[in-house]
Amino acid sequence: VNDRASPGELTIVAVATLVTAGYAFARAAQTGLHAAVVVGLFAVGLFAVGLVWPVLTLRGVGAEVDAPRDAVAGDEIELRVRLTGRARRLALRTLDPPGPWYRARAPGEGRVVHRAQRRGVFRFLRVELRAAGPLGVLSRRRLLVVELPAPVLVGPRPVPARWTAVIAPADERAGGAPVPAGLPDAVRAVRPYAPGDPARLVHWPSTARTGALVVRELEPPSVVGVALLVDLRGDDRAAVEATAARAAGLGRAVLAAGGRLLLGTAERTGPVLREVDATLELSRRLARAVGGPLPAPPPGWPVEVVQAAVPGGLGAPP
Amino acid sequence: VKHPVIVSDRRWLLVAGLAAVTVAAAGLLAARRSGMPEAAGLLGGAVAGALAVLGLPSLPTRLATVLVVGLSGVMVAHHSGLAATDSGLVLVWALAFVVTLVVADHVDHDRLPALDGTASPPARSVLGAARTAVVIAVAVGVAALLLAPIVQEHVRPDVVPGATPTLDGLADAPASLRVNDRLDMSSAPRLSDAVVLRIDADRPDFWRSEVFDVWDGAGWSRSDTRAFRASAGRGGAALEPEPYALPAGGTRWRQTVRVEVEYAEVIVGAPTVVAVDTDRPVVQRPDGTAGVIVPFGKGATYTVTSVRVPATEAALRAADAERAPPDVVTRYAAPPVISPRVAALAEAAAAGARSTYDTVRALEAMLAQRVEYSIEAPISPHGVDVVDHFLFESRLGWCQQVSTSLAVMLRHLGIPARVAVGFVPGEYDPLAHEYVVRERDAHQWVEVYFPGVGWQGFDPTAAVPLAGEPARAPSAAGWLARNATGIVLLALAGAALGLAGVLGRRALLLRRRRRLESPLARRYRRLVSLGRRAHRGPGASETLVEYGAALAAAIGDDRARSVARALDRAQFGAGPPAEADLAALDADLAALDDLARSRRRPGDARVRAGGLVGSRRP
Repeated sequence: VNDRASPGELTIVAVATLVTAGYAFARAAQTGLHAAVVVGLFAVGLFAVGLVWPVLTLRGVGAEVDAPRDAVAGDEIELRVRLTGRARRLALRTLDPPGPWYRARAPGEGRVVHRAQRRGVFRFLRVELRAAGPLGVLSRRRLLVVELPAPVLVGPRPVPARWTAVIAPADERAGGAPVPAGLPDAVRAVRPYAPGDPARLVHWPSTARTGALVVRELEPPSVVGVALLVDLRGDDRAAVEATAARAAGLGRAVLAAGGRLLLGTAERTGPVLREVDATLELSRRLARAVGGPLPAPPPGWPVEVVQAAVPGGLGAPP
Repeated sequence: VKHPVIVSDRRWLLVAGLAAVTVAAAGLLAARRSGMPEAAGLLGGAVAGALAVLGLPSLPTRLATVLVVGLSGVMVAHHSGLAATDSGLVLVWALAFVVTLVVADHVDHDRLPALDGTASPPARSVLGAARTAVVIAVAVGVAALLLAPIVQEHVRPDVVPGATPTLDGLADAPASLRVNDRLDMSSAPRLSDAVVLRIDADRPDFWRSEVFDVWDGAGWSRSDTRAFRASAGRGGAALEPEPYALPAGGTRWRQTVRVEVEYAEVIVGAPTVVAVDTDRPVVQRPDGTAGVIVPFGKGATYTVTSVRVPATEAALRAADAERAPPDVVTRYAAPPVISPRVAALAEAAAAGARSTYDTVRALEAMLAQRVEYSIEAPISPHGVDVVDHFLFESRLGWCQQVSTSLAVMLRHLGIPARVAVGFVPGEYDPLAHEYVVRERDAHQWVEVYFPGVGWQGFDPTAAVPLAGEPARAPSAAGWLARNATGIVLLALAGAALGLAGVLGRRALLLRRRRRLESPLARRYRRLVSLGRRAHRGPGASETLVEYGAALAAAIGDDRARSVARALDRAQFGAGPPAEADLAALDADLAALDDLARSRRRPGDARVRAGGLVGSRRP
């Protein structure tokens, strides 16, 4: 945690007091007027007080931040900031990117709106404090690097994508070509009704024909899905982020269509290949994803590789 | 259409008012210095200050405020330092300057949205800012006043050329600042409040410009009218001391004289001036007084060095043991023009005196009983002995008649005497550490020669009572002007007292409230106090139990949690809390108190880390 204070910026008030002091001393040197010396010293005194006061104000002020666990890049999230120490007339804002200033006092707390600028896992938040009062001579700033209670996982903002369902691997088809899905409700046979059968399975034409309740027997539900390998290697940061966003869009499309999504990414700990069953988990996985070697594609799964160098493919926007 | 600034925050109106006061004070100062009507400076400044804040929509309001009050600072620096009354004005400006800056910063800061989501602070919050500003202004002002003499020593020049003297200035110059070959008494002196000199000296004295030693019954002149160029010496022109005027053992001291009128041609200083540091040629007379060839204009400053011979009553009485030098007696004790009855009066008054000093005192006492002081005294008719007319006919006069009478009677008694003209010390400006000498401070007194001591000044006018005429009716404005410094200091003292009163009342109310609060409330306050010492006060939406848990985590002691729970139970439980529970609660609170106290000791990283203590999660 590297908190640091910047020397600050002198303001127009500093200019006004210094000009007054300079002119007064020049006048005193020219005329010997005692009152001019007093006015000069008064202006210098105000300048000195104005320099020291904000420095003392910011000393000993600390901050704690509670943040939501998850966010999407570009969204505004609400942070709860608690200031410790003792100070009045502070201004506070979050950085990365710089947010709006809030007036605050310490101790005190409140909510701050912060824009999650980019994808990633964030364990620290930079908070900037500013104090200039009471004279406004010096706008002193102090940067606090606040450790968050839990890392914030900022997932990519999904790029809308379409996905055509393909049959996910069944054991007997391992190694086979992907089969188009689309027949999960095919009727395999009919049989007499047994207690417990849902009413929606009653096959009315046969029932009418035979005079007894007959229900449909369906094919087992088709397993459809894709193994999505997200390759974030590359020097072009924008291209990498766009790749993550495309992957998020494609993943969401798969999940929205009811498909299974096996997500392969590289994390700091190494390649990770794990099935994802919710958009939140997808976002978290993509938040943690970094550039690195990908896991081997699973056998039998239709594989979709999203990478910065290949912008097209299955995940291309419609 | 409402003004956008006022719509955004009505408190900007207050800022505009404060800026108006600040600039008005500077405007008034400038008007006084430049001879403009004071009302014009005052009103012009006020309007300019208010308009700058409210009428410049193209500039941010605070920027406009700072610019206009900053400009007033330059104006004050340029025009300050005329007289003691201006010191009061400078104090008013200083106070208004700081209050304006602080309140403007305060109101500007409040534009930001609040972290805790509260609406804009109430207008009353400005009072707190104003209090802060007053404290800063007083503290910085006092420091500036204390440091000013030290800094001035390094900054102030001993010699300033000043403005070019003007012919109008010559016509308007006080008589005591012009070279006079004759001092007649055909007109009353002009006694205005105009400041003529500012003298920086470490002690008061009579500031002498010229002396006269020949009395002709109607006026004074000099027996030796020669004047010669003073020789250049170390630190300026060295004046040749008058023979026998400066015995050994005198102490040297300096006075820096600033001319505040358009024209002056004599050197003014405490007797006896021995050196003059100025930028122009100095001429001196044999009597030790001096002038300049090129007259001084306004703002000219010169430094004189005087020698002061310590004299006590005993020393002056003992001086008779020695005979005055014949030259002195010949020149200054020659029989003057005197009427027989004045001579008789002098002899009668001095009949019982045993020494020269006693003679002087006896004559002073006689004058004090015989005549009265009045600037309205009738002028002696032409051709009539002025002293005779004064002592036997009018018995009214001012310093000229009184001192002339004493000098003439002393000389009749064979005591070397002459009259000196110049100024009384004037009004001491405690802020400027200077004597402010006005035209009405012009004076004439007597110098008597004592062998072994030199010339010693006597002011017989001081003992003369004022005539019975009603004093000049003092105007309210004049009174205010004379007492501005005192008024401002009184106001500051009043403000400080008021502040102390408010704080004291608040403390009293707090004590009373604490006395009346319930035992549970008192314990809750203790818990909160403990928390605040660890920089973890209760949150606005936190329940007591939540706060206890958070505090326990912050300070790393679970007793905070149990105390909060016990308090919660006691407050909201079915029945009154048991004594045993309260005792346990008190014990926990005491233990936490001890813990907090021990952590306040230097070297305890947890407490010194401030908010970081509270940031740790259990």
